[in-house]
Amino acid sequence: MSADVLRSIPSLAVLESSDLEALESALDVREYSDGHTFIREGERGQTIYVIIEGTVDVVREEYSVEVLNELGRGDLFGLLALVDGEPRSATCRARGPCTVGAWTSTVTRLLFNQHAAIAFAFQIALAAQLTRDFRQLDKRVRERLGERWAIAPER
Amino acid sequence: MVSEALLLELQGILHERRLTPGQELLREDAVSATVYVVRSGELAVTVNTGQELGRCGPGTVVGELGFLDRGPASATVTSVSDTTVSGIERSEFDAFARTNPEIASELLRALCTQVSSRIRRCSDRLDVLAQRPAEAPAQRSLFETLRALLVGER
Repeated sequence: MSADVLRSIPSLAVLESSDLEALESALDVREYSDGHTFIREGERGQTIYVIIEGTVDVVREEYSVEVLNELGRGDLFGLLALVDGEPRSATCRARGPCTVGAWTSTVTRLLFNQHAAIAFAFQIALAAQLTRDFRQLDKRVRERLGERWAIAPER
Repeated sequence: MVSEALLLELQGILHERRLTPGQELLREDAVSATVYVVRSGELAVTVNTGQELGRCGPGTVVGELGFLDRGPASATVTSVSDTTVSGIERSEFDAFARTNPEIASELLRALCTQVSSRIRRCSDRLDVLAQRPAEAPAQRSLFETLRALLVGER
């Protein structure tokens, strides 16, 4: 099933099947129960996760009501810390039971910093997910600001 | 930011564009798959309400979202003075990447870093907005939020 999910990510779908198999074999797939915390805000780590089945909430600990993003099948999470080496920016938690695959930091650092076809496809997948995440946040901020535009200062 | 050294490596797929004052480079909500690096001059970033969110000078990257997902621009970008930009179109980049994977990876990493830093800042701003729904936000904080979101300045 995890191979199907990886193949559903457009940039990975173009890979040779041997490369895709390599990515899949490096993936540690497990089932998790509701509320499991994959990533905790502020901690360090460069493991990247891919959702095989289920939903994962991205939340900020300080404001636990605020769900920044809801991720589903085929979405990647845990990317920022790999890209910029900073602590985790948010907490990622299972909403209901889910199946999630993990690539350890050894694997992800290698993929992010190499330039073989497999690494390039991985980088494109990362870039696409980051862009999707940013657009989602952009939308949320605009929604929250929406009604306040009426009182925005004139230029 | 994209370094001069990297731009030199990308020279074969760079398209220089010269803009006269007031000329539009990107329009909010219009699809564009080209990322631009400002070489000289200055660009203004505005949103549909007409508000200017900030200015971009030499070395700044604009249009990276559309380049990465072929989606719409998040703001309108217009030249303020005589401005030169170097553009890289996505399909040309993809072809280039097949023969120059190292250089292509370097550009991708630079763009990933830029989007990542925007996500971090944007998440922080969203926290602030979520935390104080009852308080009337100062105009400045509203303005700063969008500026940080779209231009990536603190």
